[in-house]
Amino acid sequence: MASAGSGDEKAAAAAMITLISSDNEKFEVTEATATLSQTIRHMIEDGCTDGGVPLPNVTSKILARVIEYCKKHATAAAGEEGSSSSFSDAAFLEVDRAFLEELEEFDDAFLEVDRATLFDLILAANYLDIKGLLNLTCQKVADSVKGKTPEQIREMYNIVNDLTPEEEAEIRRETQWAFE
Amino acid sequence: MATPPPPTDDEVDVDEGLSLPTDAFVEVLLRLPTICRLWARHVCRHWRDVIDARTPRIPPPKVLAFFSNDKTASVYVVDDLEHGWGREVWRISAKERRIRHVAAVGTCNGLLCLCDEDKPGGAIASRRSPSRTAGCTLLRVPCHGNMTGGFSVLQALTLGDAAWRDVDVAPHDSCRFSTGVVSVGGAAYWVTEGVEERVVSFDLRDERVALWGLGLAVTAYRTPADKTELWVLGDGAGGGAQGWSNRYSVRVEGARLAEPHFAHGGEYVLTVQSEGWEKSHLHAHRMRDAGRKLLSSEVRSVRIEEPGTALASFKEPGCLRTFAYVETTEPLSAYKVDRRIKGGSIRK
Repeated sequence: MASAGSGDEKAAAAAMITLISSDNEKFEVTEATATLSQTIRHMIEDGCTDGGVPLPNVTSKILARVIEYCKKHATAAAGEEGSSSSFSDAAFLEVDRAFLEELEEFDDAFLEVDRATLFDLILAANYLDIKGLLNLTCQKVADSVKGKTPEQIREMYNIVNDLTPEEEAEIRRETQWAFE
Repeated sequence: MATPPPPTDDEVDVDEGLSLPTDAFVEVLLRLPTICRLWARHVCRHWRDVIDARTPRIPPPKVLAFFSNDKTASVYVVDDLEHGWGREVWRISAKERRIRHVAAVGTCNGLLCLCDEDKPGGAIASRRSPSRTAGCTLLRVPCHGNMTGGFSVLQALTLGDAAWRDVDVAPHDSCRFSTGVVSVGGAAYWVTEGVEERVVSFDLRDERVALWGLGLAVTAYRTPADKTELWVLGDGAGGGAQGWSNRYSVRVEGARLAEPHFAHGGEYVLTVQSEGWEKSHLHAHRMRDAGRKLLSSEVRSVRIEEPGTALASFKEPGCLRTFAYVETTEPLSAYKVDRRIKGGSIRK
């Protein structure tokens, strides 16, 4: 998870960044929220965020969801740093645990989207380089494939099997010896 | 693949399939367990090509040691042959086990296949149930114990089938029981009974496949057990029957080669040292000139003298068999019975 940097965190938290979606909607976010994206972090470091950051690959609908995710997880990152100094304090640990549970619930609820939205979130997470969001969304798709036969996977995703019988036989052979 | 344009709200309900750009698709594939990723190669050409080009190959097999006697059966996996690090992944004791004489038949597709040796055609139990086991065939000889003489039928079981089916075998191809039957690369091999000993093979699916760094020993113990001839499959140089050629001559001092898989990763040889009837120790020996290529007709002499790296010790009499095992992400330890280790211990 991205941390908010070592230096003047308070100053960083106060700075605001404007993100512009493909359909020209503007979103004001804190730098701490925006820098969960490695792509935006690099832009900030290079000093090219004046006048807003255009994101031509991300619609306002998806960007709103991405920002929702980043806000929640930026708070979590800040919370972790705040509590690390008093790690032995049982009360703090209790708060941490509760917060982590809350975060997990947030993630679960966040993934309750249709497939098209999920794929758009993956594209956005990939483009913006947000590790946590990419992991969360890709795992959701991976879980949908896990334990399914190739035929079930094709049905689920409308994929046409273009393998020749010879190629299929070859794959079967390779798969079989691999695990002997 | 080009990045598809962001969908408008009208398009949300249209199922476009798994049309992710390759980079994002790779991220999904990397989060699949190895065995699922292998099965996913069957979906279509695009999936196969991306999996082959962008995801790690199957990890190299580890050593799996199966130890059994009339009280207990246990399975150890060795993670690090150089240091002898390993762990017990499964254990069952006589009290809780329904089958009395359990033997490991083989490993396949992440499965460990066990067989009840009590009666001919005994039950096969598999530890782990992966999403798909189709195509995994087991073979057994339809008799047991000190039975002598030949057989004219073998029994085969394809996992998923309800019962064993008979497979006819010519009488002169029947088996010398002291050597057992070994399956490797989709074929079963055994030494024939009779004046002229031959190693015969039975192809389980009419295909011959290449083998990776695994060796196979079929050893008949006579006095003294001095040298073991090692035949290698798919080496190509010798061009012997079915691609087998005699490439090594192994001499082991004070121990015997582990069976049936005794060579591992192209570098290590596994041996079993016995202390009387009571104890046995599994060791790994690094071959001194493992990296040197064999000349086309060379039969290399290998002499194993030093004790090697201790992998596991078994402090009861019993049967120890070694296999190659590819770990998948659903761990065998999920089936581990929580109980103090009695029969064996893993050296850390």
